Amino acid sequence: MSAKSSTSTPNRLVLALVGLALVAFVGVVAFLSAGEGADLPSLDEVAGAVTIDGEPIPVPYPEDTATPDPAVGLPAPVITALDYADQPVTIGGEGRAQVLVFLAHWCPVCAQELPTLRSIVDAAGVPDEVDLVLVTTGLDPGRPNWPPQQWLEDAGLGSVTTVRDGAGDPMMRAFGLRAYPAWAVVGADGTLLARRQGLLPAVGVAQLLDAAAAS
Amino acid sequence: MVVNRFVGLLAILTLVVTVAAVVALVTRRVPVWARDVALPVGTLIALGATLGSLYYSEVAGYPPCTLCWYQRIAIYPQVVVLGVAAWRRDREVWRTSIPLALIGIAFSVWHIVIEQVPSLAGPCDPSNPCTILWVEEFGFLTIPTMALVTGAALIASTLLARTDPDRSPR
Repeated sequence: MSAKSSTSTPNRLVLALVGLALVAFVGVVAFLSAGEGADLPSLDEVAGAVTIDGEPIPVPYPEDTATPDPAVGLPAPVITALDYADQPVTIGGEGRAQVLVFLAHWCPVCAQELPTLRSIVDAAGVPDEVDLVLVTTGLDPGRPNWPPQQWLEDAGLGSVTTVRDGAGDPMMRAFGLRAYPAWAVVGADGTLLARRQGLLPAVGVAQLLDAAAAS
Repeated sequence: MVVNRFVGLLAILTLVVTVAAVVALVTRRVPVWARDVALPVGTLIALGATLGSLYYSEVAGYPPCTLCWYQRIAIYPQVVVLGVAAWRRDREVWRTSIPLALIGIAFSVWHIVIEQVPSLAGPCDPSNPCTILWVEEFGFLTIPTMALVTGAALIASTLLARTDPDRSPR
């Protein structure tokens, strides 16, 4: 096939089509948009009141995961937050070991993690001496899967203790974590045993649970 | 959301038109009328993609991620490039349009890959990760999928426009 160029007569069809398309598109979208907007809870209704006692972990989670985490062994901050029944839950301090999982409702990597968490919970894979605590963080009503408690219930994790981070992620920041999903293991003596960021396979989650149980 | 469904239907229509154009090109049976409307239709597709993308960011409030911007860079200018070409009946516009479309398609493909396997892009950046699924219509039409369809449609339309009329059935 050979190509030929013709620039003789301007194509009036173009102007007509483009004009019609512009008007039609704007009209249809405006019509369809009218009255949209579901009755969903606001950020203030979902974000929890978070009280942090003690010093936040001063060291951010290292970018280079090959580097040993310098925060391991430091005292974890003691945090009081609310669960979705508005009951206070204490994180950190001496007592039971805890594995915290920070999940953002809109984060697809967090969504990838949910089946792993569910399989562990369903298989009674959480040691008796360890509390698995989900923390809904990165709260944003404009992003997918809002509100987060419904998202977790749909994933079959409604029975796991879930606490609400505040707006701006104060809980997660107190642990020096910056990306979702994130993990923090607090030993029975209140020290930080491990932190992770990103997707963990079931083996990785089991290692964190074992580390918590061993404390 | 009803608007998402509408935009998804436009993307499906574009996909159907593209497949028909590819079949015509491969079988070398491009009707004259198809060759004549190829550039105006390509302009409309580029305009629709641009308006749809602006709707998502400016009205629906879905902030464009970095990869979205690269795809926008490849698609937005096509409205002018193809519009002027359609107006002037410039059948050689494929030389400008196809490289732009291919650049956009390359970014779309990577964007689709990380949408399907988000962990490939690492943990979610709190600001605006490209792995967020803002739109998913008919189970497969996400924003980069629609950009990919647009790129393919623009390539097909400019190739249709350059076919030799002497070899086309009337």
